[in-house]
Amino acid sequence: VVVKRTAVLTWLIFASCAASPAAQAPSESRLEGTDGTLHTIVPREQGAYTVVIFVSPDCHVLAAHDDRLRKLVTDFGSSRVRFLAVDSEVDANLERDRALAVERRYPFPIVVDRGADLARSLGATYAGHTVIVDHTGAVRYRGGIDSDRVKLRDDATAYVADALTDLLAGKPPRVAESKSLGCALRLR
Amino acid sequence: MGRSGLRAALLAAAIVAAAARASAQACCAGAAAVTPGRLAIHEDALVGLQLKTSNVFGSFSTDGSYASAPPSTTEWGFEQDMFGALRVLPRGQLALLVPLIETYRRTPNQSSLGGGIGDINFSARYDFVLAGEARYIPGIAVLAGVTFPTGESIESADNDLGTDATGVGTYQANLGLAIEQTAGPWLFGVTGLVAKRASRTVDTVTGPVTTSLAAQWTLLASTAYTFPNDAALAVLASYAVEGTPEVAPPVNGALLTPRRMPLLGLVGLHPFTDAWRLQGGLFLTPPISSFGQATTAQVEFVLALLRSWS
Repeated sequence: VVVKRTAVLTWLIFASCAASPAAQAPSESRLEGTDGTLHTIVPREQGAYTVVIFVSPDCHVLAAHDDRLRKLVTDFGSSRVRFLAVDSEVDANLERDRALAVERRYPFPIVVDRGADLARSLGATYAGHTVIVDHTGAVRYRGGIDSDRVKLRDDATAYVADALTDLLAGKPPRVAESKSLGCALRLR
Repeated sequence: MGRSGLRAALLAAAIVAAAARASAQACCAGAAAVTPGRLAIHEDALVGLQLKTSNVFGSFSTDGSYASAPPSTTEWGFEQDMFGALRVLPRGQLALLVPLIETYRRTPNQSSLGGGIGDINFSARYDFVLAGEARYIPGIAVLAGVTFPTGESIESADNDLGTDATGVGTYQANLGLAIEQTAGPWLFGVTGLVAKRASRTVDTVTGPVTTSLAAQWTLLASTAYTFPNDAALAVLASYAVEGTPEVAPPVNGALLTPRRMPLLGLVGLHPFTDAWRLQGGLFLTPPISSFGQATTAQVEFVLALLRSWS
C-alpha cells in the first residue's frame, strides 16, 4: 500500500512538472490544416519565419486577442512571415477547427496536432502561446502574443510584433521569451 | 460568536469560488484552504483587502431546531481582512491572511461594541493537476493551513457581552483536497477540508479545565461561470460537521454537543483591468430546522478588492 501510494504521489508530482521546451522546432512534422494541405512548422527559405499560435475554442483569453492576431497578419504577413494556428487539444479535429477558423475569422489555417507532440516539443501549455521559428528550426521567440490578458490596453507590450520587427531587421528579438497568460490547453 | 477558523475558511473558499474564471483556464476553482487570495494560473502574486459585514438572525439549538433571534437582540459582525498570496513553485502558492474583527451586540439590557486583531492564517496550495488540462482527470490540489491564536479568545474577553473576543484561542491546522474540472466556461469544484484545533486550558471558577474541540469536516461544492469579459459568477454550498468536544475534568452542566453548520453563497467577480478586480458575495445560513446544530444562523456580505501581478 505504501509503495502504491508513493508511486501515485510520484506520478502526480512528475505529471505536474512541465517539460522544458525545446529550442528547436521539429522539422519533419507535417500537420494537416483546415485549408486542406499539409504544413511543416519550419519554413524552407532563409530569412523566413513561421509564427505558431496555439489555440483553443474555449479560451476567452485567446478570443480577446483575435483582433490583434488579424492585425499581426495584416502588418507582418508576407512571403517571409507565415502564420499558423495549432490545435493540440485532445478533442482537436479538422471539423471543429474549420468552424473555429470561420467563427474567429482567422486569416491563417489551423493545423491539428494529434497527440499534442508539437505542443509538448515547443512547451505550449496555454492557449495563445506563440512561438516564432526560423528556417533552421530554431525557436526565436516564445510566449504571449502581448502583455495583455483579457482587458486590452493601448500601452501593452506587443511581444510578437516587436520580435517580428526585430527579426525582419536582422536583429535578435528584444524580448525572446515572455509569459503566456491564456487558458490551460487540454492536452491529454 | 461564529468567527471560527472554519468559518473564515468557508467564506474564503467561497470568495475563491467567485474568482473562478472557468473557461478551461484552470484557475481559481471552488476552494482554497483559508484565504480568499488564490492565484490564477497566470498570476505570481496578489494582495487584497476584504470587507465583511454580517447579521445573526437566528440560531440552531443542540437538537437542531431553528429559532429566530429574540426581539430586542442584535448581533452585527464586521471584519476587514488583509491578505496576500505568492507563487513559490510553478504550481505551488502560499498565502497569508490578517483579519481585524469587530462585533456589536445588543440585549434588552445592554449593548457592547468590541474588537481587535483576529487569528492570523497562513496557508499553502499545490495543484498536482490543473482543471482543464486533461479530459478525464480533474484538477487535483492539496491545501494546508495553520491559524495562529493571535486574536483574543472568549475567555480573555473583558467585555460582558464578549464582543472583544476575536479568535478561538488556540492553534488550528487545516488540510484539504480540492477536485475541480472545467467544461467550456463552466467550472465545477468539490473541496473537502478537515480542521483540527489544539487542546487548551482555561481557568474557570472551579479551577483549570482542558478543552479539546473535535475535528471539523467540511464539504464545499461550487459551480462558477466565466463570461467573455473575464467576469465570473459562482454559487456554492458547504456543510461542516464537528464532533462532540471533550472537557477534562468533566464540568457539570457543560453543554457538550456536536455541531452542524450549513452555508449557501452567491459570489461575483468583476475585473476592472487584468490586474485589478472586485469580488463580492452574499452568504446565508439557511434557517431550516435540522440543517444546523448548535450554531448561529446569519447573513453575510463580503466585498474584496484585489491587485495581482503576472
